Amino acid sequence: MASVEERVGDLVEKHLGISDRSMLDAKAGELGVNSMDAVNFLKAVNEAFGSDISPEEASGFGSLRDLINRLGG
Amino acid sequence: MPADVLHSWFRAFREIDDILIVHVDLTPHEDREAHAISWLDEKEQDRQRRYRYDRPRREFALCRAALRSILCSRLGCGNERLAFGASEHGKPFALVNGTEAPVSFNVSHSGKHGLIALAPQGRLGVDVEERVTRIDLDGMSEIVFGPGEQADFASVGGREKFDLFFTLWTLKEALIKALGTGFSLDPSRFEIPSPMRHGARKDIFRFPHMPNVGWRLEYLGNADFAAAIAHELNPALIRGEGEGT
Repeated sequence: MASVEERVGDLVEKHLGISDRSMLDAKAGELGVNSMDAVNFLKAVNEAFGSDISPEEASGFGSLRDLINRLGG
Repeated sequence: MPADVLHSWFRAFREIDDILIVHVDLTPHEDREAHAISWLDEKEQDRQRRYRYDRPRREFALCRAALRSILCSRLGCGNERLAFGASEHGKPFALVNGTEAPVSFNVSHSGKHGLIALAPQGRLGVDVEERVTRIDLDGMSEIVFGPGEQADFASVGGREKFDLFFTLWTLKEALIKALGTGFSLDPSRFEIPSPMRHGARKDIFRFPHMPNVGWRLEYLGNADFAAAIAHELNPALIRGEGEGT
């Protein structure tokens, strides 16, 4: 079973086109992801993990690492 | 490089009363980008370098340099006197000689297109989106649309559904950007007025949680992109409309 980090990394690559895993620790603002792609990515995360993270909650994440931690990784 | 080539990446797109909307061409162009970076101050150049990828670096440089040029012209100041501050949620405002300038503006970009909206006063938001097919429209609609919007979205299909998604998204994001809260405001908690969900290009909008504030909402989309602006109305003008003046 892949780890949470690996699964999130795969979704980041598929939906945001970011393949460099070091970007999981970059500040969210440094990635330049627009809000539509961000919400589309969040929807994919919720489907994959059965989570219910809202855009409102996600707006408080400073990096993708915060999302991984929220998912229990 | 001739000056007109270097400066030709932005031009007036629309004027709506006292709101000016400028289109920024974000097509990759090394000379333009280098020229744009030279207009930025040290803090902005640091920010531009911190972006991890070329696309956001280009978007920031070309849009911020265009914004600087427009603001300097409008405010009658030199580029070196202009700086930017930011609100709690990161919405920028202009400073001239360290004092907040009497101008509202907002910037949006998507793909090859950027839009800058400016007005003398009132909170202002703009959003532009290229209509891309990589988005899960049905899944997204459940997250960002309210019940009435979801019902309208479910009632159409094909190209009409595709266009309606981007129309509603840009209208809602323009409002969120005008408010300056980002997605800390759940977009499903307010709905675009029904006439605009059925083809009207403009309307007056009020957030449920702040009904005393009116917003001019206008759709600006064309064949190349979906786009919208939201502008806080002057309360005196709203009273005037009600009194038939």
